Amino acid sequence: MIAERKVWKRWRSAVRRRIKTSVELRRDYRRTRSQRKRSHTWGQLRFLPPLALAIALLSGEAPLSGILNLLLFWTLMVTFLRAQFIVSSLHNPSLLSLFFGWPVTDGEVFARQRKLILQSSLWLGVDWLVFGLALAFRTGDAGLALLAPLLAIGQWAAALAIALWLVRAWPRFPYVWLTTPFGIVMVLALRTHSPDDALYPYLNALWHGLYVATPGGWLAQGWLNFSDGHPFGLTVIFGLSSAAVFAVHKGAQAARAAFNPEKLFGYEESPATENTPASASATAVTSTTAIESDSAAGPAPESGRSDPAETRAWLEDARAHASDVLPAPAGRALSGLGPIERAISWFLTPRQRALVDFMRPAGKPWLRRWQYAGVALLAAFALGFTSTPDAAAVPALLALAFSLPLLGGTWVGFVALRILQTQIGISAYVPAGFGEIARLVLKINALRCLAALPLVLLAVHLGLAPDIPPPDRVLDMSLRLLGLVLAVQPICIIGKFSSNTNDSSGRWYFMAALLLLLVTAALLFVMLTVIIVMTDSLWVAAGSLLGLNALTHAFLAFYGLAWGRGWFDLIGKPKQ
Amino acid sequence: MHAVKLELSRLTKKYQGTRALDEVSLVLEPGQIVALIGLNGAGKTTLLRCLSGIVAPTGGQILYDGAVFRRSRLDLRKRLMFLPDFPAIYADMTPLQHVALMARLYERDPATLEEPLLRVLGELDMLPLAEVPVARLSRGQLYKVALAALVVINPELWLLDEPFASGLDPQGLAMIKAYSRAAAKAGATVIYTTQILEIAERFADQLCVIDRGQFRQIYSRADLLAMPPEGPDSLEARLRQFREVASS
Repeated sequence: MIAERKVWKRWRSAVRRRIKTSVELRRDYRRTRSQRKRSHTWGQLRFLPPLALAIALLSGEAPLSGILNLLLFWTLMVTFLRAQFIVSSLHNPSLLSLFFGWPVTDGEVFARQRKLILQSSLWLGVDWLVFGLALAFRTGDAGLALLAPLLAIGQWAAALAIALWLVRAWPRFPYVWLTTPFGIVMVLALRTHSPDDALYPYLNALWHGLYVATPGGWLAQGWLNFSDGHPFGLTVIFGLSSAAVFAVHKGAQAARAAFNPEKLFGYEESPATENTPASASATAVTSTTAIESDSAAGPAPESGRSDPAETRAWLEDARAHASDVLPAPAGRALSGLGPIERAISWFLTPRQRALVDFMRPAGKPWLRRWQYAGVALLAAFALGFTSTPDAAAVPALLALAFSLPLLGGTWVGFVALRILQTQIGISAYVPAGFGEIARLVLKINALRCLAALPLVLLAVHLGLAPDIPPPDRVLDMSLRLLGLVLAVQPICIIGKFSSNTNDSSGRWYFMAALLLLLVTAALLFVMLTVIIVMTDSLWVAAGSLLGLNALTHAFLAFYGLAWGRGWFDLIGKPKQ
Repeated sequence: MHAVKLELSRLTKKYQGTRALDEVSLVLEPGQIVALIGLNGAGKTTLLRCLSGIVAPTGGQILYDGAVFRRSRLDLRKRLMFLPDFPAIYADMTPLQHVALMARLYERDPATLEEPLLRVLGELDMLPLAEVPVARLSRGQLYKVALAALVVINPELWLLDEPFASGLDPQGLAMIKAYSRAAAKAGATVIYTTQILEIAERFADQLCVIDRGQFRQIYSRADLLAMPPEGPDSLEARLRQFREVASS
């Protein structure tokens, strides 16, 4: 129904034929070559795993059990990735909204998404097919070669069935997060060869678990059984593959029954919402977002002129409001949040107060965050009296996270306006400079860190239980910690600006300079951080902290220079 | 109002090999309304983005009163305002709050803005909505809020991207012309993009035809007035001929 491949391929050929007939069209076609290039994705390297598998098996050097262990682990990882893909395909409102304007039924949309899911998971079957065929070639067993497709279907169907049922049970779980630990284990497994390695017993237990607890492991056991000459293995593979295919069928049916885009968009709410303006309920415009291109559409309160008396009333009303709003003191976006913010806003210049109204610090008021930190510190204090006083470090760290702007804080002014295939930070539209915004954020965050010093002292004191150091040492450590947090702020600010620019894909000389500086700065950063944490000398620590802050501020200044000189555009690629 | 003289000197902008602007040169005296007309992807919006500092030219220069324009020149950026076809406005703000915020960022004295603001909101039929959060407004009303801020702040350079395709109602469309004329009369320069020939023909002191990143033709007000409404010498016919030459 959608994306008829044959049709568009035929049209593409026709377009190319037509272009060939004209010099001008050919010139324009060449001119837009870069726009036709598809962006590369990791998915395009998907042929590498079966290739590596075939080489490993056919070289005959790698032990079969080792390869099979890794392949089983890979299968489990792909299963979770497929689960994420199913979530994205069937439960992602921004993707499904594309179909809302089209004359297609939910059933057709589901069929299209189901086809994508099935197609995208076929590569796992290819992995297992390559495994089966390569092993048959290695052993010279024709029976194994005949059975390889069945094994491939069984593994593919089992993984897909598990993914479908996982999503059915937990549709909001971020399955993609599991790939990082999986990747780490995979690297460790590839580096662990000898039984003398410390990790060997753990990995062995993991492999054993895979054979016992996963359908992929059961299928692999059946395969090994059959390759040893036991016909029972064939029964296992056949039975499990059939069951897996049936489970995929039933899982797809269940997914279809649960597929309800209208519910996803919240259109099936109570009748009370019918009376509210559609734009308020359906566009999901929140206080922390800028109006986006198509989000402000929808019925609006009535305007237009009515009788003169009413107009006069409006005028009086608007005059009163304008008198309140226009000369209102600037800086309310900060000072209105709470008493701590109000105290900090005293230190801002008039221009910074105007800027803070535009940048709009967001998130929980700091007093509330301090209250959370206080609760965490109480927990740390209580844990200090238990048999596991070391555990006090966890709530102490939480208290630090609550009280300090570890990642630069949340600022609404860094959000972007999405326009088709680009996004532009809203600060690009107003006369606000990089330097003044950066100075504002640095100043507020520095004041916030200073204000939180008592909490930091307590967190360091309680977090080091049971070996609580003397007060001067606690102060020393707290100041070092604050120095590190302050040193990170410039990097966080660069990251916030950078997310809405093309600084990584613009001018080559800037990209090269940025990369060089980034590598150098990262090395220096790690080195100085280690010195700050490890050294006993106050002077060395102070010098290193100064150096570290000078380094990150210099990096910020360099980025600001590039921003001001226009070495990149304030247009970035949208996140999604 | 201190008027701004705008000069583009061999302005070039490349996007990954594609020349969105190709050595564009132009001098604009203050007090003019300039229409940019061209096919989709011709480079109109890129030109406005260059003029506002959102994108940086790959080559050439932009001069405001002889001073080279860069993104870091806040003093110059406070003399212009770029109004995209979908303006960026915080959803939870009211029109009054938005104008107040813009006034502060442009460092205008709020006390002097009250009367102009009420007048503009009244003319745009936005008085009843002055205290309604922007999230509840329609697209045209949203544009009116941004337009009200522009008119009240009244910078020396107005950059309007597709103002006549921004969802404005007839009253809004009429007012945008009236405000632009008043601003130009006071010495401001108004540059807008459009796809609508009839508007560009009647509402411009200069009409620049842009295609593949270059100015193909620049018509003055006198040229436009001299053109017959229909026939082979009409603007529509000339543009059609021009397009046919380009695609032949």
